[in-house]
Amino acid sequence: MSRDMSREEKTARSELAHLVKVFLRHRLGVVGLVMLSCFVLAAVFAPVVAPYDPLEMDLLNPFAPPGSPGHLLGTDNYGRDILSRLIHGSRISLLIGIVAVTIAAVLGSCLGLLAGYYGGWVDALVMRLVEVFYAFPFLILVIGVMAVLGPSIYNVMIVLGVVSWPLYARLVRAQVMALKSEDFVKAATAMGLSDARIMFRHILPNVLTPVIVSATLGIPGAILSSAALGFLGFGVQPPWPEWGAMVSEAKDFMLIDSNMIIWPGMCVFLVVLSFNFVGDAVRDALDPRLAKQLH
Amino acid sequence: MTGYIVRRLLTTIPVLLGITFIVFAMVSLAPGDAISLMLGSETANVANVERLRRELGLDLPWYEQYLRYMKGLLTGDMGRSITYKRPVVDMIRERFNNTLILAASSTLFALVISLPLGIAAAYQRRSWIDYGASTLAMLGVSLPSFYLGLLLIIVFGLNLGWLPIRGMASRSASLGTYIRHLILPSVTLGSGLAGILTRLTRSSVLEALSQDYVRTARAKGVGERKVLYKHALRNALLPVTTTFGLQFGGLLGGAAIIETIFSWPGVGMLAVNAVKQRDIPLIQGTTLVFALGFVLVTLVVDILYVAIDPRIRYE
Repeated sequence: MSRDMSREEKTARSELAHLVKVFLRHRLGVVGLVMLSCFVLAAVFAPVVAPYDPLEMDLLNPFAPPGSPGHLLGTDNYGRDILSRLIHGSRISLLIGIVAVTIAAVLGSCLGLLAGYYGGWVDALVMRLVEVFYAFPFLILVIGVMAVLGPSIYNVMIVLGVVSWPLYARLVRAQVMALKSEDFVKAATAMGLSDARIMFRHILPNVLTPVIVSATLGIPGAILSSAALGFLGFGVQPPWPEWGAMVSEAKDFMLIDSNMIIWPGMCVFLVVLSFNFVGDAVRDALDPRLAKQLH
Repeated sequence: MTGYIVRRLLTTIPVLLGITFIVFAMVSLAPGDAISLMLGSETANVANVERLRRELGLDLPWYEQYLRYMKGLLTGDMGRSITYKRPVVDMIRERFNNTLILAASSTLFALVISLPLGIAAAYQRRSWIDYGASTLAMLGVSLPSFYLGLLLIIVFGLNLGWLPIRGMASRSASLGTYIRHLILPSVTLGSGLAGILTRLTRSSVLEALSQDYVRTARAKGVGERKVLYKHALRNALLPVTTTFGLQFGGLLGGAAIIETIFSWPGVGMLAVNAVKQRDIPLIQGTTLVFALGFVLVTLVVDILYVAIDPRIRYE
């Protein structure tokens, strides 16, 4: 038994090693991973790395150009250090992205699990609900619900999460339906285990990998949406250094100083870009046949 | 074919009911009292709150409210805007065409860029066209539209002064002026869709080119041009059609942002202003119109798909 386990473990490890090798061959994927690591490090160590307090104003020194002494990227209209605000902003954006996607994945997986396992009217109900949610243009529904709930960082995470669940419900449902006829599920049923136990202990672990992969690929979308909300003024509110909100503040000074607009927008772009690079590489690693055909 | 269309139409009925229900329920989602929220703190005295509550029918049980709401919708009544004191339907009607024009020209831009670029990239794999197309597509997918819009405004509007950056040309303006006003908003709004469709066109043309029927056609001595256009493209463009339908929602959502940036007098800007003023009937109306538009486009795309692909018809 233990020898079998170790053999299994070995193949799993060599499979992983192979995936890593394929991933590393993808040059842009590596570039994306490096950029992403920089953002993650900046987010984690923000108070240590940032040269200034992101909210500290210096009214005597507004609109300092990039490269000014002490301010690498210059200052904004209140004389706040732009670099420090961007570094703290990476915290907000990554946090929103991760939490929103987690809410969506958990909610969607539970509903998908129920729909796939029980079938019948439960399935019909969940799938109709999925269709209804898909019928709304995503951002329009998000804006509408945000309008009613009111702008705050928590509401951004909750709304982006709650509106994105259908993707995961569909994914999990399809997998569960395929797994339901597998022997191990039949065996568990025959042993008289409860439905909840079968669903969460036996089926769920088997569908987790694709959920985690698509959740990771969903993070840039959530970051883009939260930046768009911040820009429109419905998301995280100033003075918090959320990148979208920073662009929105900056646009009022477009004629005086375009420096303020360039950087926060660039950060959203770079984070999303690096996620997309990594996503492409992961997809290629997981589906080498397709990758060979396409590249 | 007719059978399919009828079935497809029937499946939209529960979806439409669901949409109207969610839009209807948005009011009751509001924390605390929706009414005082709408009135603002100064005017929210007891008498005003009571009056508005009765006016909106909020004193009735929820199912009666929903029935009332649906009855209103079917007779073309979406309620009255709180800030503008006007029927929501009229306000949307005035701006609807402007959004339609912007959406259409953005779609046109996306298709004109993505299809030729995707096909060329697939056909000349690993050439500079391929790498250029991939780079552009990546930019299109990753650039936040509000950022791209502002960059275009700074470069082409403020620095070079080539193109207008605000609003729409008046009706009496010449066609040239009209189109010049459309360029920047359409490019901004269409770029995301262009990126997605370029990537998809490239990969699906590549896949089609590797199929047996293409090899057969080439072996038969069919000319390269004909192989590409008649054999490969026909099949490759099917998934592009579906994706276009699915992604159109993204375009509509983007319209809210782009219209706001460029002061384009459409339904999207109306929706954003409604949210800023917490004008709930107006928010409901604009949300509903966007959802209905999206449902309609998906419906048309699905039917088109069956019309293009005879294999589905016989299933």
